Amino acid sequence: MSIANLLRHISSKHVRFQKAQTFMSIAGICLGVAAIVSIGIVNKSILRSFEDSFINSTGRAALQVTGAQSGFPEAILEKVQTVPGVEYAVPVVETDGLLSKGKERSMMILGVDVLVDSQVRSYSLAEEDADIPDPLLFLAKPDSILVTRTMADREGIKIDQKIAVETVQGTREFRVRGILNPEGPAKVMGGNLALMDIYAAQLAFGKEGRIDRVDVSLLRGEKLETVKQRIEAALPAGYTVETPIGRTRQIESMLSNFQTGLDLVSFFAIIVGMYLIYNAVSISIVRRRKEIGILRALGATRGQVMRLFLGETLFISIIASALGVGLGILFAESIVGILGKIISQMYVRTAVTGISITWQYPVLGIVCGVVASLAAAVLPVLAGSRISPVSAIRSVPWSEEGFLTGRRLNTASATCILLAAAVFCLYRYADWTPLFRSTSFLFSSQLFLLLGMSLFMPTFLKGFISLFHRLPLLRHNSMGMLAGLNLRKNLNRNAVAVAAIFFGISVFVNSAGYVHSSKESVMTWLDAVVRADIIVSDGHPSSSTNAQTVPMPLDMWQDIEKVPGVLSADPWRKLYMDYNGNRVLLSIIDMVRRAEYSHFMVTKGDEKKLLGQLARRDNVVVSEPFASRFRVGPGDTITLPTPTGLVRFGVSAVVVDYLYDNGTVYLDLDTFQRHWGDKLADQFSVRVKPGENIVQVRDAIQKKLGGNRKLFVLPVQEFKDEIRKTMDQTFIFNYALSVVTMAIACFGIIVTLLASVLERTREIGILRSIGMLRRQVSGVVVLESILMGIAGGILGCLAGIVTGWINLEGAFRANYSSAAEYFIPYGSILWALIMSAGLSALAGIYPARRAAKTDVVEALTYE
Amino acid sequence: MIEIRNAGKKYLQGAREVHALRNVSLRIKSGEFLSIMGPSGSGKSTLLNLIGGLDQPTSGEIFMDGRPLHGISDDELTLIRRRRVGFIFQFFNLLPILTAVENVCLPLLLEGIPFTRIKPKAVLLLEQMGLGERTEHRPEQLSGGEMQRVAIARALITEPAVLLADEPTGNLDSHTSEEIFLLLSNLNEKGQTIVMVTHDSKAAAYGTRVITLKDGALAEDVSLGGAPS
Amino acid sequence: MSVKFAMLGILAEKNLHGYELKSSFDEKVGEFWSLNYGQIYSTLDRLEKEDLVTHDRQAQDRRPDKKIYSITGKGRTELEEWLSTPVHKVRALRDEFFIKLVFMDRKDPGPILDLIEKQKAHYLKQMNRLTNRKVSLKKRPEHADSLTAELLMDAGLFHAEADIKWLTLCASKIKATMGENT
Ligand SMILES: Nc1ncnc2c1ncn2[C@@H]1O[C@H](COP(=O)(O)OP(=O)(O)OP(=O)(O)O)[C@@H](O)[C@H]1O
Ligand SMILES: [Mg+2]
Repeated sequence: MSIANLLRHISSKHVRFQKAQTFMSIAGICLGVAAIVSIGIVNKSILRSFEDSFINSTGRAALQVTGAQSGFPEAILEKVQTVPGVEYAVPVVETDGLLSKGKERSMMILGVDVLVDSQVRSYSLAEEDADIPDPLLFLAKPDSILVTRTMADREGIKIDQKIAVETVQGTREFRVRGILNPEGPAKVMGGNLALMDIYAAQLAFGKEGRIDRVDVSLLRGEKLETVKQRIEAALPAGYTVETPIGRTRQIESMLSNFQTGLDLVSFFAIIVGMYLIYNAVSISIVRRRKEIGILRALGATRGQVMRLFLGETLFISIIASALGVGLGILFAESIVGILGKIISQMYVRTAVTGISITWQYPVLGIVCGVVASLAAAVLPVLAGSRISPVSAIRSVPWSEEGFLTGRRLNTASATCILLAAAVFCLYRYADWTPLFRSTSFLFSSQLFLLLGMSLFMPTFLKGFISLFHRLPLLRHNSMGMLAGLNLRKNLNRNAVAVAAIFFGISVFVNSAGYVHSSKESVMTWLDAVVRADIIVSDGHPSSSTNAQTVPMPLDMWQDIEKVPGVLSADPWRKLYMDYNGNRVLLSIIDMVRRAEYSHFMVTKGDEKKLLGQLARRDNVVVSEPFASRFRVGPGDTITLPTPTGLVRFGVSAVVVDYLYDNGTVYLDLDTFQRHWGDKLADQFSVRVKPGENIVQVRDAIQKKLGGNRKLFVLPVQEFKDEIRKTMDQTFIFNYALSVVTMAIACFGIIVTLLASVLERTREIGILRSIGMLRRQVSGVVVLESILMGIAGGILGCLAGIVTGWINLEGAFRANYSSAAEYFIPYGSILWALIMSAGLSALAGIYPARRAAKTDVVEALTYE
Repeated sequence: MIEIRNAGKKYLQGAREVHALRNVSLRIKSGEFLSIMGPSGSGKSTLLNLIGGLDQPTSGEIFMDGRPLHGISDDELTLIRRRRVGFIFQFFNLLPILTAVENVCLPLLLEGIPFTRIKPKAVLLLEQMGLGERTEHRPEQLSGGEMQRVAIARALITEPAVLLADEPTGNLDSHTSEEIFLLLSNLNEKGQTIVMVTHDSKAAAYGTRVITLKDGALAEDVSLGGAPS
Repeated sequence: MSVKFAMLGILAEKNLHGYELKSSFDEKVGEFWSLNYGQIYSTLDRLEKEDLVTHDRQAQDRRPDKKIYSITGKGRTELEEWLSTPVHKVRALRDEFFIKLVFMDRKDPGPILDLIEKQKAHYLKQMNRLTNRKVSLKKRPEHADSLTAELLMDAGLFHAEADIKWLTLCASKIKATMGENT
């Protein structure tokens, strides 16, 4: 009640009289919240789009039966149909297709049994084809296809028109028999969907006799769980029976490492925002110390003073957070596409078209913004409430240090750093609880380190300034001297601003180091493993998943070898499958032929015996992540689900492999064909005869085979470059978030400098009166700003290297279970230093101009 | 109404102990207009602050209306300050961001009473202080004497048991000072208990009693003739 | 000397007879200056001799004639000249209290310090009386000549204040020098 009074009568005026400070605080928190909200919303939207597509594409079906990715025998369908409680069980072939021409060529092709499928899903056809195509007619002609309204409008497709689609047999023409209204399944994949008869789809996409999914609807009154168990019992092992929501969970767990990583980095921004708020609140407490004294003398309790300042912080943080949520939503809208693309390339195909805002992220953003602001304000506010009315009114000079003496700060700093080390060690060496192995736990070690180094900042800044004073160039320069003195005057406060910069830079260098090192590791591995001269693939090399690819017939290797200049061509097939509830990659190569020129990077197992064990035998090689996740090693056996049932494979070796962070299993082509009966290939590695020109051979292959299908034929160097580019893209968000973080840190500098300029009004007046130029006055301020920036930059680079290493040791190991060598990102460090100096100089401009504008006469009468 | 028994106040200045006040005993009766004089640093402000509950003694006891001001919690002391004591300072100590009338309302705003309910009373007080025209002005737009009159109005709005003034005219010229003293003297005549620290014997002459402090101890205690007739 | 001009000043406003002149004098400056009738009449005689004042006789029933005094032209000129000339003579330093200081005990400052305090208390009480008078005067502003009366009281207050300040200084200097001797 009384607080409402105080807020209304006092705080509102302060806000009005200190627009600049208020604005900076709001902007800082707003950006921090925006980062959290946008990343959160985008992550969620992507998951939502999966959920939507699962739900839409299943229609009334309550359960979905899936097996190994390349499909399972149609016989399974009959088994499901006979399970009691099942109403309809309908087969589905689901594959990725490409339009030969078009604006957005990638789409999903659904092959369904038209006669029964409408029992489960309802298709609504656009009105112009009032004479709904006879399903029989539709079936009879295997070139029939239905496209969605969305696609038709975008690509200008009309009924009865022919469209060219990439298939396993190359480009084929299909006749559009109808246009689907965007309802039910037609909404899937953002409307990028075409419907075919299941038989035609099987033929066109090399899945003869096999289906990808069985969708099951239940008889009325049957319990979902019971029927699910009955189906599971009726099927051989290796099949998954899931609800559409359950499938979303699977995707969620698959993306969790990637998404949590981004989420956590987005929190860095709000942490830097806390430094800003800490400073803004301390500054306003110092400035309003007399006011606090008066209020206390007039009978304001300590609690009231605390509530007054916390109330102000609350007010500002609520406004800032609300704005942040709005900004976050805007951000989210503009980045959702990019992130969707990255996920499509790295994990699983998605077509997010827009963001879906649920209440969680706006609420989370506001809570984070408010809680972080209040938490940051607590210490200064507590100090403010302890201000003695007597000394405030007597105008006893304010001693900045008070409780936070250099010694105490350094002790706290050391404690934090030790804690960071302890947490890291637990993460690294102790794995008795899942907590110790979580990414968030590792993240906390980085946080402790950064916090510890921040606490050390006053001492560092002091040392840095005295070092700076020794520079002969600046020793006798009045501006340099003044700048140094000014920085030392409010050491703690300036140190906080520097710490914010430090934080921002460390996040940047951290990301850069992590990216650089993991890239180096992956590229080293690629160089070791990819020894061919030309790579022929069905999709862009960046698509490590199945998105945007249409596999090629296995036999194509023969055609390639017929091209003049080609020495050899051997296939690579990749498949994703469920293994113990995890999605793992099955990577199939012709061991014998591959062994001629390329080798595994074996970490466990006998490399010499490898070929003999693998070729045509039921033995596999697993990647390090697989080995550590499922705790297997050479000599163990693993049981993989195949279309024909469970098969036991012996593990021959563990190898370095960065193909898929969930784990990869290498299998010989012959073994694969025996158990899976799949005759497709995703890539061919081509070697060129000695002396032949690679580019000419490449062109020849393209000419000969690329005629009736979309082929990517790339010299190996280009192929690797593409992969490098993709990796850069993957980390684009880390960079974007460091930029946001840096921006917030700059607001911190502005707030701090502005305060010290205002406090120095009188001093500036005196200097001006004895002849200092405006230019010199502003020069001093900018110099201070740059000094702060450089100090923060230097320490930030140091911290960035360490946290980057922690990240690599931790996160990279968590993802790939292999140590990656840390490479110091010298280039980025240089950039970081330039950025810290440059941005802080920019941040200094506004306070500098305020300082230069100081009116001499007014300043001298300033109390 | 105020009783001080052997009150002492020590400050630590680094390692050195400063006795700002030693063993002061004093009784202030209701309706008195007491002036505290003494050289600079003799502990006048310290004593006044103890009486007003701005500070607590390091030894001895202080009672206001029989209730102790020593050894109670900060919040209790604050509430006494808010409800029973009115302060007037040498440097006025108005909040520069508030208008005159808002400054006057401040103590009651702290009580949680809505501004609109207090405002009429504050305006009335300001009118009595001869500032009827100045209610919406901010301190920077007021002269020193006007600011001090706003401060007096602020001190009076809670109808305090005792009005404490620390060199209320230290920053004002003689004429303006005299107006302030006349105001105080009028208030005292109506029964307001006033304790005032001053260096000015002309000011002390308005009161009913003058005490002199020396080195933190009570040196003289002179009762003057009595209230003006 | 100033009595002469005070009387000229009063007569410059209005012609008065001796008795009226005395009461007017008391009202204006009586606070600091009391004169008896003898002094009034002897001053008037002297002024008449110097041609600054003159008188008319006014007949009264059964009583001797009243002398009504009035200011002459020469008197007016001299008054104006006096009014516009600053006072050169500073307040007398010869002061009874000062004589007591001269004879104080150099060995033991105690008694003189006591005396100083008593003297200060006395001055304070005097100031308090003056202030009270002033305050009550302020409450009746319609009273004629309240301004000059107030100013006179102010003068008294300021002088007393100066005395108190001087006494305080005396005490602290005495303590400082003699305190270290003992
Ligand atoms: N917060 C404090 N910390 C340390 N010493 C203090 C503090 N407050 C007062 N003192 C000391 O106590 C003594 C008395 O101070 P006080 O302010 O009461 O004097 P004063 O009589 O009011 O002086 P003045 O007439 O100059 O206002 C002084 O020596 C002062 O230095
Ligand atoms: Mg004082």
